[in-house]
Amino acid sequence: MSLRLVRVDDRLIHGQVVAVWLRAVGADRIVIVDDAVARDDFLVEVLTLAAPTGVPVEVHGVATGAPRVAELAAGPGAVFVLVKTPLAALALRRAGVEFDVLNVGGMGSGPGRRSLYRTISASDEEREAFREIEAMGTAVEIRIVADDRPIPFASVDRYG
Amino acid sequence: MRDFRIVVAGHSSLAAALVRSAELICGELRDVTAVGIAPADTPETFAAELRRAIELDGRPVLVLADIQGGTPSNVAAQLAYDRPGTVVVAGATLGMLVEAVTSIDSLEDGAIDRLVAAGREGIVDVTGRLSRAGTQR
Repeated sequence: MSLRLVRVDDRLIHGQVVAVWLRAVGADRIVIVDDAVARDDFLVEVLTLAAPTGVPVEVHGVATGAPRVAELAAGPGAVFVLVKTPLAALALRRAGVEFDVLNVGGMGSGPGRRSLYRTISASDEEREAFREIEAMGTAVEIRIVADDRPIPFASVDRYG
Repeated sequence: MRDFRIVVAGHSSLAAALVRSAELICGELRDVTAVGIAPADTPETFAAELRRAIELDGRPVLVLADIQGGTPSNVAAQLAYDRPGTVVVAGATLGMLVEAVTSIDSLEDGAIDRLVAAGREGIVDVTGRLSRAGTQR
């Protein structure tokens, strides 16, 4: 298993934050799995530039991303996977990509979302995705910066 | 583990803001102090405050000053002259502070050269590096 971290962060690559996480988990490659981003060549270029020098960035839609992440996970590299929402993480998990922990690092407030824990917000559908991911054996943990104590999703999940 | 302390020295509230901003990225910073020069300060009153921050204990200190030639940098340089193990780097950026707290353990062995290089590399003509810069999306 060389998936060093699978992280939900709606800002995706934001320079220094990702640099700190890359170092903390020892990853040397970033894979973004997001349908909308994969269709936007300009955004792909901006995100590639935001990554630290020497760290390759790949962007895939969910359909091609799942087999690609599975392939990389079986290889020698150390991969950092970024998704914008739990729905993409669930899609990866359903497609057979295995990871022990899903890190939740950035989910801003927006339509349909309400606060889950401090600055992390999630919609009903996203909460359900987290529950399903946990039911599949992957622990969902809120941890914004690498130094934070991880907060288990289940400890802040409230129905209704 | 980092074996030195960091003192960020700057004009007005910049030093404190750099530390707060780095904490947004790295989490709480230990052994990092911010010292700012206020309009009412004289070089002497500022020097006294900076000296307290630098001489807090016997550990080596990296002073990150905001601008080369400014009073924070000039005063820090004078204080460093009298205190071995004190290094002053001017032109501090948020990127350099993050680099200093995340990837430098000791002020030995070219660490300062790497820090200065990281600061320079952090200055990037972003639109110039993008192929479609300035064009309509």
